Amino acid sequence: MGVEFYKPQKLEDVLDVLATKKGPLKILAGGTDLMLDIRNKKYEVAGIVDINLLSELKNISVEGEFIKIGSLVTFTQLANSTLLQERVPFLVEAANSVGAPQIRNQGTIGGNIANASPAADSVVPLIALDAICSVLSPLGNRDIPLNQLLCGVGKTRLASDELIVEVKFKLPRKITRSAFVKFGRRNALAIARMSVAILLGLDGNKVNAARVALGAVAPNPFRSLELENMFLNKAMEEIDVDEVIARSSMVVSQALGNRPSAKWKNEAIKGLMRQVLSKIGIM
Amino acid sequence: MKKRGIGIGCTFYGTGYGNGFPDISTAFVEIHDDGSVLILTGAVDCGQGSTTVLTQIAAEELGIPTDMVTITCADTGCTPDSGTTAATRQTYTTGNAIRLACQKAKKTLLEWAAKELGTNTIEGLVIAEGKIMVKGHPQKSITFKEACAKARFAGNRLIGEASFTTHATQVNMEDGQGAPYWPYAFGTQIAEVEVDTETGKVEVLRIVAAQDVGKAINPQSVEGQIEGGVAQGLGWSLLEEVKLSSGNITNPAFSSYLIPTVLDMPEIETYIIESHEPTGPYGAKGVGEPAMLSAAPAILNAIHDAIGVRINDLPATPEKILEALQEKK
Ligand SMILES: Cc1cc2nc3c(=O)[nH]c(=O)nc-3n(C[C@H](O)[C@H](O)[C@H](O)COP(=O)(O)OP(=O)(O)OC[C@H]3O[C@@H](n4cnc5c(N)ncnc54)[C@H](O)[C@@H]3O)c2cc1C
Repeated sequence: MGVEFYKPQKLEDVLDVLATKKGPLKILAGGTDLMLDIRNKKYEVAGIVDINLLSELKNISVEGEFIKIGSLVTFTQLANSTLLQERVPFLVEAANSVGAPQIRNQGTIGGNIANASPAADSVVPLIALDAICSVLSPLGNRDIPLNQLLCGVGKTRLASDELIVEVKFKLPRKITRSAFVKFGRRNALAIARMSVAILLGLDGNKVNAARVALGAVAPNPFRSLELENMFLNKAMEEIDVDEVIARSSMVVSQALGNRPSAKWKNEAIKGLMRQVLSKIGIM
Repeated sequence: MKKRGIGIGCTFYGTGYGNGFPDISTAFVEIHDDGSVLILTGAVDCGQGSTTVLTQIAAEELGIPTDMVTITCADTGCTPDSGTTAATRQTYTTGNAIRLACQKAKKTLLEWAAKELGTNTIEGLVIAEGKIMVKGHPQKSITFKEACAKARFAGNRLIGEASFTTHATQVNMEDGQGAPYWPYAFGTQIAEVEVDTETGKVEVLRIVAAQDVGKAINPQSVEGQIEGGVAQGLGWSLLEEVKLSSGNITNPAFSSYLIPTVLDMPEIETYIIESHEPTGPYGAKGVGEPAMLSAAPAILNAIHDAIGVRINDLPATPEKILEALQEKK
């Protein structure tokens, strides 16, 4: 059972391969999930499409009111981007919390999204940012919100001949604060057992935009409007920290139901929430 | 809330196979014309540094620099059996065998040299600075190299072979009482931890580790062994667990069986205690396994000091910590 290996030079060639070659085909970005999955026989593959020659997918740019990140941008690139450090530091924190330097050099944001793990670190801030994925297939281009693209553990709404080209999100207003915390079983090379991303837009001292996303408590990371509402239209010092922490436990409890991990997570979210609030300067 | 605590763990450990089991190492030694030395022994160095230490023991016994010693370890085509690299036994047991084998080869050499230098005992000779000298009268000497070449040319063979058996006594099989091992190694570690009472996470902030090794033949590798022992003890206390389902291991990979990374390791302060073990090579006893033992009781006692709960089931995971805290409430 040989596996074909394709390494197209141009985006059109990728589409051509995806449209014409015998499947099932798998796109290879950094390979940090794919190679393991193939080895563990998670799925059958007839061909691997290595997209690493597409240098146009390796850029971070600002276009109009959007920050655009090419799908082949690695975690190391995310972490080193001054633009991201200034405007969305929590995405930088999330990128820095991935695995170890080797994995951060190799793993890409596109792979992190397409792999659709409940614990995918970069996805949590991206969900908080209401990110949108630009997807290309032989049929053409489409934009799909990240929270719709992801549809379960390891599941996406990508068709088998579709490629994520980039992920984009609206540049947050200049005065925002953001933070990301991750709880892993150890301090490096650990998959998130739970994670929280928070972003607050400020008008003077008043919160006029709030995003709170949780990772590894549901099939995919999600925004909690209930928690966001507890920040909105309040002055920083008016935010009721104890109430936010108590409510976060309820949100997690609802998301997990009676899963075995719920007992610990319902409690532990309080500690994570406290950490993220203190990072963002609320306590 | 984050709470800190300090705990102490004190342990002792019987090295060697114990319980009367045959615990034997063997070594062959040959000194060549040019004064270089070949050692053959079955001891496996799996990274802990036994080959280095055994080379040092041979060099020390023969009074020559380590770069004159070539050692071949654990080649089943030519080395004699030295048992397993287990039970913290290679420095002690194989070290003793090498020392005894070197003494035999040295005796042949010194007997020739005593005649050459006109002394009537070999005890009156010393090997140092590349020479064999008369004690108290170093002007009377011959270079080590020349002595080896001449002694061999005169028909002597500078070889030695020795086996060493580590003392062990069978325990009383009825009640398990007795003194199964020799020698014992003693250790104490002190841990400072910080426990997050909301997430149950335990961060080890600092470990102070004192280990009795009899004599540190290679202090730097002893320090490495103690630090490695602390890492294993920390993993054992907080992370490592073989999970079984119907007899199959469900976490047979380093992605699911977690050991501490460098970012999980605290600052470690090591203290080498040299108690001198009279039966060991130059007073040495083993360090490998005993160095990991005290970390777990120290860390668990520190957790108790911090949050007032006893974890009796390892590893002390965040789940167990939170559960114990809730039960206490
Ligand atoms: C040791 C180790 C530690 C890890 N630690 C973490 C961690 O801490 N946090 C974390 O979130 N993840 C972690 N991961 C998982 C992995 O590194 C990330 O999910 C990474 O982002 C995957 O990216 P990749 O480029 O390697 O993807 P690949 O393995 O190349 O691809 C992953 C999947 O996405 C598909 N794909 C890739 N690119 C595209 C695209 N442009 N369009 C459509 N489909 C695409 C592939 O076909 C495949 O199905 C770890 C992995 C390892 C091996």
